Amino acid sequence: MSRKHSLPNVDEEALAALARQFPSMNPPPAEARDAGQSGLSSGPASPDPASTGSPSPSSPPSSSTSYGFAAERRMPEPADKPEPRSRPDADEARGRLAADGAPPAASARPERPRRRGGRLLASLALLIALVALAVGLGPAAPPQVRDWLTTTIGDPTVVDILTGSRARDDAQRAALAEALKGAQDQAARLATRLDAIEAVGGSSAAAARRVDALEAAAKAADARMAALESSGRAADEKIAALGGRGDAAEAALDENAKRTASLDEAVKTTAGAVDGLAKAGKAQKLLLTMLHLRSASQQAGPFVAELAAARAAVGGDDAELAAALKTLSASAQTGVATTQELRDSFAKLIGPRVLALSPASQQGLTDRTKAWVQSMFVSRASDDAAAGGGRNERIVALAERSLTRGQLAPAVDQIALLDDEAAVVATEWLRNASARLNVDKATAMLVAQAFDRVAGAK
Amino acid sequence: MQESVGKILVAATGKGGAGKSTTIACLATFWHKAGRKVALVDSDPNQTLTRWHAKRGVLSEMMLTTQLDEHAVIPTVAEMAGRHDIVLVDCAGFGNQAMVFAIGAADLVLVPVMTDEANVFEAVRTFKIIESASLLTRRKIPARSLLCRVKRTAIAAHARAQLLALNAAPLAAQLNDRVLFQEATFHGSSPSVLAPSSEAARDIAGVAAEVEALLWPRPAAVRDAIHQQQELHEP
Repeated sequence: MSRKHSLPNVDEEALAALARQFPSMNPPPAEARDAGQSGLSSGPASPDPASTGSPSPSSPPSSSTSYGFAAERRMPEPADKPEPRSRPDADEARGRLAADGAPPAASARPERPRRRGGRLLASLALLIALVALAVGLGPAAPPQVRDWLTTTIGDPTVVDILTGSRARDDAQRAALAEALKGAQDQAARLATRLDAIEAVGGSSAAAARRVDALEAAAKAADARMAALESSGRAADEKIAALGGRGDAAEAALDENAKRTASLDEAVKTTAGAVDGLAKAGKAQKLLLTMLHLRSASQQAGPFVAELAAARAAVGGDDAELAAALKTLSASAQTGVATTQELRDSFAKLIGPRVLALSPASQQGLTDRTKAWVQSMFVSRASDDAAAGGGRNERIVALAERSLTRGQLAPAVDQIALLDDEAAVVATEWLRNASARLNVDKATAMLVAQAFDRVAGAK
Repeated sequence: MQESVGKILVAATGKGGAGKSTTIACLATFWHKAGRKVALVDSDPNQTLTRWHAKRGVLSEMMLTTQLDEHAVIPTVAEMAGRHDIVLVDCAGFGNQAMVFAIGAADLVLVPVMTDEANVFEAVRTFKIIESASLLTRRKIPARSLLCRVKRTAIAAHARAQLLALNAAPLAAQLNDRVLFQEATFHGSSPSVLAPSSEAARDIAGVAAEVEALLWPRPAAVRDAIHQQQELHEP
């Protein structure tokens, strides 16, 4: 390192004094061994060995190797190691640390941990061993299972796939049987020939040896046949085992099919429930929207935003609801006068004006003006008119009575019967009242439909 | 003279295999991923940390200096601390001069301890060395023991009690015995990277949080605010 670095509050010289008690990881430089001392090449100055009477921190102990320990420079071991089973007292342990330079060992016997799971593991291992044994012995099942599978399935290829193919063993056995038969035929021919030879010239040693050889060959063939038969039996057992496993697989497949069917049913039920919830949620939203629209339309102000929300909730799938919304749209921009406003306006403006037009009131400007002013404050005068006035006066009286009872529709019907100038005077009022009736009718229908949908969804 | 600004964390104990290199690797990775500038110094002649650093895992993203010359340990650490937020020093698993120099330079010494008598004994010896170094340098060197490879047995609680009794103050957090720590060594990585949501990663986060509180202590008001916030988020 070209530049020397140091840390604040770190006394390297003091540390070196402590470090000298430990082995160095540096190999001793030759000059240090020769001179018996050395200094730090970079870093804080080391104490002068001559003045301190101790070796430099950089000079390793002469008896240590590069990474070795110098026995005399190790941390002092505890003079008396603590009893391994006794729990140390903290103060006493600290006292010993101070005195010996090494701490006592942590030695008290802890509570013996309970071992758990040993038996479970052993049982698991036994179970695995039993399963492995069953799988290993599986091929030893009887050959009848293969025959049964061939009859049941009807396809030898599938049986071969399930139980393992025996075609090779059969072919080998057939070949050996053929060879054995050939050998026996050849032995018979040789025996015949030998008989012929013996008949002609007596037996010969060579012929006897050849016969012996043929007999030995026949025995070997028999042994091979026996081995093949044994192999065949083992294969049959294997096939039987595979047949058993096939049955188990079929049972498992059946069980899986049943479970799949039940799961399908559960999924259908869940989907139905989800659809029901979605429908119910949509219907509730529609009802709330319609209630809000009705509430807004009951005021005199515009209800454009509420109408737009209702349109969004309805969508375009219901012609009846769409027609009702279209009716409302005619009044949404301006709003519609409330029933109370209509009643007031009729009582204060329309009624007196109609009455003022009656022949009984044509008594000159002063009297008409007086009658009009009186009508502004005494609406009950129309009752008198109803009792004995003309037709228009009676109509006004009946309409006022209907309005007083909160019956706007009959009042509208009655006002519509006015004649002549009185009908002209009431035209605007009739238009407003009709608009109110249309709005009320449309909103009532919308709310009723929405409520029906909520009831239907439930 | 370069003024050091970074913190110096030393893992030291006289017992080999206690978990020094694993602790250093895990904490270094945690802080590296948290955005701190981390440097590593390996003063262990076995060079375990150096080997892991060469595996091109997340450790290789940090600067590592292998320093086996005990007299160069302090200058190396000082130089690193001038350029990094924290320098982590891995020491050899036996008493040696490099360990003493590293302890003398440390802002915090972590003493990894496994839960057996030999580890506890060596940990307490290491605390004795730290105490001597504090006296010699006239500077209090903070130190904590850290229980490593802890199994869920009564012996772990006993080891913790022994450390407390022998003034080898253990951290509340601990590194439990998990396979992921061993797997990480083959990758030169840490559970915080291999499986950030694993239990092992949570162990590391717990230790890191506790060490951070010692290395970068916050003002009391900030601590209280954080504590209250944590309490609010607790279920």
